[in-house]
Amino acid sequence: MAGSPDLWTRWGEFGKFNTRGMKGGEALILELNRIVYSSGISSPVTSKRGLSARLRYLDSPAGRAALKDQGVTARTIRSWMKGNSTPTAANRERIDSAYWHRRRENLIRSGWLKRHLDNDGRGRRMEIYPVDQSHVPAERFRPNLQQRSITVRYIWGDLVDAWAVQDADTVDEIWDDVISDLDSDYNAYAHVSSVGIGA
Amino acid sequence: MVAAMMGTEDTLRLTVSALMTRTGERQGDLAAALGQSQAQVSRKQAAKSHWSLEDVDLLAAHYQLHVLDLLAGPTHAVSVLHGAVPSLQAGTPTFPAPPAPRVQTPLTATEPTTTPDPAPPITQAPPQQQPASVPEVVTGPCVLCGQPAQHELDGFPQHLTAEECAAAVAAAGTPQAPARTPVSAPAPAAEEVPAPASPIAEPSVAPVAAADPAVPDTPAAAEPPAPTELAEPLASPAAPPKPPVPAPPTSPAAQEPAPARPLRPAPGYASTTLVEEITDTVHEVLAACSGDVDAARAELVKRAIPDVMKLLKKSRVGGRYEHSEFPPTDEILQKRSQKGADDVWEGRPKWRNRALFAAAKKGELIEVTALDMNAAYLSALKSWLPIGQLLEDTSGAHNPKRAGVHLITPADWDHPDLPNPLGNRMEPGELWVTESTLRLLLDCNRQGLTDAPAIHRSLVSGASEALLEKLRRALAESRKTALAQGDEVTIAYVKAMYSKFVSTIGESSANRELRRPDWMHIIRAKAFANLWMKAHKAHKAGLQVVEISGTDELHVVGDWRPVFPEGRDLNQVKEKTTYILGGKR
Repeated sequence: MAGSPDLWTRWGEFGKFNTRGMKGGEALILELNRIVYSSGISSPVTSKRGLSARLRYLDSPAGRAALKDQGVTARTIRSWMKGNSTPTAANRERIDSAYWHRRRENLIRSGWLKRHLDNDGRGRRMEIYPVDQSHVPAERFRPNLQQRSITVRYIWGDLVDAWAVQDADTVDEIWDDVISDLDSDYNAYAHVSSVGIGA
Repeated sequence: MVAAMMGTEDTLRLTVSALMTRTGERQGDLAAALGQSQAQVSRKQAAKSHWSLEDVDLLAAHYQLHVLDLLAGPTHAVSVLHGAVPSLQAGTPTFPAPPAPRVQTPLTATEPTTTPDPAPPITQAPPQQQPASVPEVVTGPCVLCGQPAQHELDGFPQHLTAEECAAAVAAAGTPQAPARTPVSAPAPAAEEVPAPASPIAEPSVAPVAAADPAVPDTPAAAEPPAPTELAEPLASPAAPPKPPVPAPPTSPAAQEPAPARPLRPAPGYASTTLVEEITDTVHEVLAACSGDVDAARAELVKRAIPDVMKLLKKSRVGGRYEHSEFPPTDEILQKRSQKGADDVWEGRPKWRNRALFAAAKKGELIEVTALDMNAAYLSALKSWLPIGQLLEDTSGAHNPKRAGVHLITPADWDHPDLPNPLGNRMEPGELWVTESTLRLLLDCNRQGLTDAPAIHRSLVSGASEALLEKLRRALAESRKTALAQGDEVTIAYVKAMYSKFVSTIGESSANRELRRPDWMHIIRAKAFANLWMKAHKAHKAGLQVVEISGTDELHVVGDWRPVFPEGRDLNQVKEKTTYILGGKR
């Protein structure tokens, strides 16, 4: 029982009556990942354009270090940069993961992600989709569990910090904060099927 | 008398049909005048719901008949409408103009805007204020528009229809404005509050509209609809800097074709706020670019996506349904790769008539006309869109109240001279199609063209056809006005807005305010379905369909002009080229 234990105990045993879903904090993490990984260079690494854009992005001490972490030697990198050879399929994968690693770091370090989500204090719209009850027996079905949509402010800095250090417990607590805005039945959204953020 | 055989309401239905035929109105026109939807009128006429007493009053006001005349059977009502028979209540007419002066009022109304010879003396007052025809005294300012009104409903003095309001405002604002008769011009979209700007443009519409009841019996009713493009765009409230006086050539031009059909109220239907927002943006950008048209166009195209999203948000204010903007994307709607596609088959048409091409190859000369559909994606914004998150449904039946994507096995298509509504799908077996394609296939089944598809699985949500309707109308209205005024900047702006809207509401990083790949597919498939329906229409009218492709290309053999109206409007088509099949293009 990590992060906001009250929330989970009040729910009881999750999945006992065949609800499908995940903890709200997990859904938040997935959505943040989606936001980060749908930004950036959109051409695939298999294309010439996508490859050169990534190599250009990684052309820095930190970028070369990231490539090195992926197991690419400095000599190989030099040979790509000069255009003497093109990366193999396996190395393109390495370049891609090095790129996303660097980009994630940079988005966190530069504060872009926080600013983007905080939206000058206006926050972002969040849509909360309740747990999937399609397999719940009729007598246990909660018909009043609806999709909710709220504007979320003020939490984004903390959320990005917790997400950056992969601190799931803090994300759970932040989720507790988010849904306590909902109203008396907020506990029904401790687990959700997914969360959508308009960003 | 008919009434002896059937109930009063049935008689009323017959009467309404007769009056509609006589005046050349369609249900949509009547509905607009009654402040109802066309569907309501349809249901009432089909005896699926009742004409209420309130409706009867509104009907009587609309046709300017006394209620008793209206209820006295179709023959009597039509005779009174023409002035052939005196009204049952000739002494005390309830509604402004009794039959006799009614015929004259529109005549006066046809003249005054530009024609200087006032055959009947033009009284500057609207018909409501003619003391001869209206025994009631002015009761007070209308609660809707603030102008003096003669009628009282529920104790509030008010005008009975939106155009009476508009006429009163116009009369108050410009004393020279011609009096509008309520009978001829059905109210512009009843759903909108009477547009504050529309009265300005109203006088230009009045002549066309009012000309109709004066000549109700001319055989011209059988003629094709008079081109109304000239008059209609002026009725739009767009273009604030335009002078409120209608352009001089409008009235004579509009009068010339002697419109036997009443003017369709089509353009009055857009939300003024949204249309104004579009024109304001254009003017703002033009001013910022100090009149440089090319720079302004580039700038507007650049900001089209955020602008159209803002318009969408505004258009949904007060809407009934709150749609989901970022629902979880089901696996089948997820793109496989950046350039890759998801599992949904949109049914893009790409079809050629094999028999005709074979004949052309043998040396036969076939003259083909390439037709182009106007703003196909804009029209397609009117489609059944799911409101919320798509949920699985395995019942295997199509629920018309829900929409989404469906896994189907289509039936065989064996019409060599007609394209397959599924597009050029080669692989047999089951496939995911959108709501638009499924509805088209079910339609084809209803018309006996093919068997119904087998539905295996559906991902659906409650649906509405009106989610984007307000947005669509505003864009359509702006486009129409811009076309009439030759305003290339606005045309490009509107085009960028609707086309980029459709292409970016899916998984695009260019538009992060809405993530509905299902909508994107449904709207595209709707455009393709619309094109297919045009091909089918041509086929039914005896034309040979040579080719359909893309969203907007239809090539036919034969005289297409009786089948499709020509022009640049949404319901019209334009001729791209004519060529000889097999010859050089």
